Amino acid sequence: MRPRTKALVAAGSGIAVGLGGLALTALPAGADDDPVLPAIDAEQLVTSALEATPPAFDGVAEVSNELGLPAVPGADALDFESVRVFHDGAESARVQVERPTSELTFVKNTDEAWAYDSQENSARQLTWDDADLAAARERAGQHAAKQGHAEARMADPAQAATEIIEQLRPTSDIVVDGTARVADRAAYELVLTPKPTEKTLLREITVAIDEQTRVPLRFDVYANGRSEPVLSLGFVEFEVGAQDAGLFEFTPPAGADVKTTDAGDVAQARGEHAGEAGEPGGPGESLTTVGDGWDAVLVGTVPAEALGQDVAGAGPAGSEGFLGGAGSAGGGSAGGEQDLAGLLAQIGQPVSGEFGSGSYVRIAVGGAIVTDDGRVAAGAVPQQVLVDALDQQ
Amino acid sequence: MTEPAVIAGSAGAVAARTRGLRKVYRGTVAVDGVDLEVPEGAVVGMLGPNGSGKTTTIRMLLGLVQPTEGEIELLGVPVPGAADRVLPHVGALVEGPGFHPFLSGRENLLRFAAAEPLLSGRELDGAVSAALERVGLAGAARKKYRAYSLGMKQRLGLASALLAPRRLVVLDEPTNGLDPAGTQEVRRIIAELHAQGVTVLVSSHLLAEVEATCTHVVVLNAGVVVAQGPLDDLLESGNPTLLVVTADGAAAAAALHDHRVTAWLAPAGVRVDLTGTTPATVIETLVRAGVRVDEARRERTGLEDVFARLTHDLGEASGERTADQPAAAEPASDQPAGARPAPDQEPVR
Amino acid sequence: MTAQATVATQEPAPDRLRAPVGRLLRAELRWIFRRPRTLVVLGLLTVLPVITGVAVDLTANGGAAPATGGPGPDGPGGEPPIFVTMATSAFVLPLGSLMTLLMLLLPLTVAMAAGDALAGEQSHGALRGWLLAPVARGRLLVVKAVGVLVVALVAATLVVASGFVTGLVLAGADNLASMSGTELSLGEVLGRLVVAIAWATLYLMAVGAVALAISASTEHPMLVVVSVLGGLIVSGVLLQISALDWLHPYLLPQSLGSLVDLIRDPVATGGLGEGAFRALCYLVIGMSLAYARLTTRDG
Repeated sequence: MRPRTKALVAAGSGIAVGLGGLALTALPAGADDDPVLPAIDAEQLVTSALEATPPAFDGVAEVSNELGLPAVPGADALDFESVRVFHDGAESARVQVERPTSELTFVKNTDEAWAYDSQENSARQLTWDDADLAAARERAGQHAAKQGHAEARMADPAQAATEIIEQLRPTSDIVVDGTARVADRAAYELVLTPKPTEKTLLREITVAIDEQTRVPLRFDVYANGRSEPVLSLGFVEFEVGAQDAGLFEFTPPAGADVKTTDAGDVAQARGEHAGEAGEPGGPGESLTTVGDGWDAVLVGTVPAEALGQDVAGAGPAGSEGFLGGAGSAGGGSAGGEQDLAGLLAQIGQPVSGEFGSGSYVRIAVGGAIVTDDGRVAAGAVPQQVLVDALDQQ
Repeated sequence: MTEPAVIAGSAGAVAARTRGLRKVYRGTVAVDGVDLEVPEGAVVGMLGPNGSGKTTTIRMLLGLVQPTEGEIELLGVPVPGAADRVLPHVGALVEGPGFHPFLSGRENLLRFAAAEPLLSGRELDGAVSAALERVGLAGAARKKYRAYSLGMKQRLGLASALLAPRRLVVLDEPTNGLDPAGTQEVRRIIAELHAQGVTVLVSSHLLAEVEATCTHVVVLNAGVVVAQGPLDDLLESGNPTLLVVTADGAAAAAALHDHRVTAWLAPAGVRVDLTGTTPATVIETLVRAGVRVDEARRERTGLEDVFARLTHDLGEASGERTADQPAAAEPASDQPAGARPAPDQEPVR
Repeated sequence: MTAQATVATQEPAPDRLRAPVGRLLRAELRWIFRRPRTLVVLGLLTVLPVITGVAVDLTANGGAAPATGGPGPDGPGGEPPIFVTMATSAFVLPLGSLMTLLMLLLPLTVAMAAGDALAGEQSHGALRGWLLAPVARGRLLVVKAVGVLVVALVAATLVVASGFVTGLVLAGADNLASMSGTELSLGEVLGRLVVAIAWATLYLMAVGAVALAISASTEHPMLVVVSVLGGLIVSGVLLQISALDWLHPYLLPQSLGSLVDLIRDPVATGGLGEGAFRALCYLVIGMSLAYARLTTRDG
């Protein structure tokens, strides 16, 4: 019976080792205990986050999306595996949105920005000179890391932090609620909770801020009645270190369809882009906000370009600054290339009120009403608040 | 070939020995309590009907199958524990030849030769050629195995058992599928091996085969050794018989039966067991019973009768198995193991 | 004949006698690559990238180029395979072919080799020949596993090499762009193709190890192929069910998608590394099961 015993031992230990290894891949880092960090209050944390210059780093971000977005063609913009981000600590950044069999690459350096779509083998280039720089920074944000954007707006971080917090305080509780381990780094959890008076579907928003670099590492949105975040965007890998300068240069491959735009023509280019989609006007240009804080409702005449983006934007204004470049890249790539009316008939439910009639589309954290005359209201709020906002108009 | 080689080991040494060997396949006892002794230098014939446990015993001897119980010693070392020390000196053809149809006979042999520890790399080609020559396949060496006749396949299997110098050669039904000339060839090879002092263990259902080539015999039936020993002893141990030639065999048998004398019908009359009686009494009894006796002669008991009687008795005792007609071929052995029709007594693996 | 004369004078061997492993391997490889069906399948694997490349080339040049945005012909959600955009390049064609064939045909090739290695040999009764020589069962498994490994390596190499050559012929050596839009030098491309072959070989060997474990437990080589096919299909279905995502890291084909990372620039090593590790885990499980089964099985 000796060979049998030997065989059993071999089989048993082999299976144990193999399954153990597989389990390792199944349970990535994060099972560790929360790190112990020196206490810090919210204001200090926000200040330091704004003060800090983002270091040179590379990382991988992932999105988990339980928003319950209707299955519309635009929604597959969020259907990517992961986003790789490279940042040189100054002006230049590279963001690669990885999809199963293709990739969107965004490269921004000191004097140009590129967007390359491997699926269509097409590249868009944006160039600017010194004169255009300031304007370009504002507008090119859609395809580059948002940090530059935040920097430009917030000259004095301490001041800005105070302002942001003052702005949020009437509607939100802001606290540093413990710590977390994100991408194997110690981070503070900054939690924004709506005041009870806010008529929102959101429960809270948490931002994990790296203890060392003060870079926001993760952004989670929680909805009422759910324990798991409905939207989670965060780094799963984050490593500080100098990046190869070559990463921030881009030369389109031979045969690619290249379109070059000067910064001065950006606005026009945007118009064209929207025009391609057969929709009048560009996004963001005819939006107004009804209400403030968590129950703010965006009202406009433009059909939602990307529902996910609008909903995220409807949160407290300050949170926009924390969003990594990846978020805007994912949202920004959603082209409004669908026949909206037909789609709404499928996924929406009819709604009517003083404003007239339209369709209501609900997702986990909010909803939108598109009226028959082309107006739209969206927010992280119950249906009635949307109706009220439309009625006020 | 001409000089008889010195027999290794002391006289009376044993090439293979088993003690209380037992193998149970999923509740079926294939071999039970087999104590086997293969004297060194002997040619041992293993006899038994289909399903008597011959092949299972051989597979256990060679370490291919783990015995359920019992001990095996092969050329002085325990098997399967130290099988890898002794197997290089053992050549075997078990359960028909196993070769790949898309390779030539020579390529098949080269593949096995590569695994022979006793052959050095340079010797491989020569050893394969010699083995092919020896079994008379030199001419068909480059033919694909798939094109071989049954006899050629069997010879190739024999060749694989003779690739390296051996101390013990185990052949499971080596003459299966061979024509008379092939059978002669196998006999010649066994005789050659014997002359060289190689111990040979042959299993067969062909009694004439065993009688012609073996020095020792082991008879297995239903997984049990029913007789073993030198061929001559075994032949002597058989009861003397009297063959009575008569036209009326049935009447003769009946008459003898009335007088409590054992007799069987034989082609020309009856064969009478002389235990407890004498030829004179038998003839007198027959004459009195009115049976005409044409001729009566004492017979030396053929191995065939020993075999038939041994297995016959046991078969009657167990109530199900009568002696197999020894001449009946075992059809299952002709087929590759995978396609074997489910054998009722001797599971293949 | 002269060898026979020495037979009886030979003393009992002092200790374990073994045929050199190198000799066994050569014999095994000669046997594998003489087998007609091995050659047929390898030939098929070589031809497929050529067919793909030529077909895509004809479609891309013949029909209207589907490059410029707009609602494409591929309908909602139907992302065209990477083939369509850059398929004929000497970089993407070999990798694309490898990825496609890794889904089914390559694993089945390896399963077939593993099935023949033990189950097939057993069904011919030829395994006994080596066991009686004797070849210890552990060593037998090593030799068989190396044989399967070589089949995996050769199959992966043939696919990649054939795709590479086809790409060179169809698109030349200067259109070697990654999915991230960067141009790669021929040397870089070759380096990545070598990595792809190595990775695919490891992945296939993981399949092969499991197939060997099945092969050690049966006499029917087809059963091995069918089991592997079934396993791949079931895994594929399970991978589609997002409610079971806790299970996905345990499924081997989960790794397959990461091969595409080699077309990204810079190469994302995370997924490839995890895939290699997962394959290694399967390899350990498969080989230990095969060892356990082979050592206890009756020869």
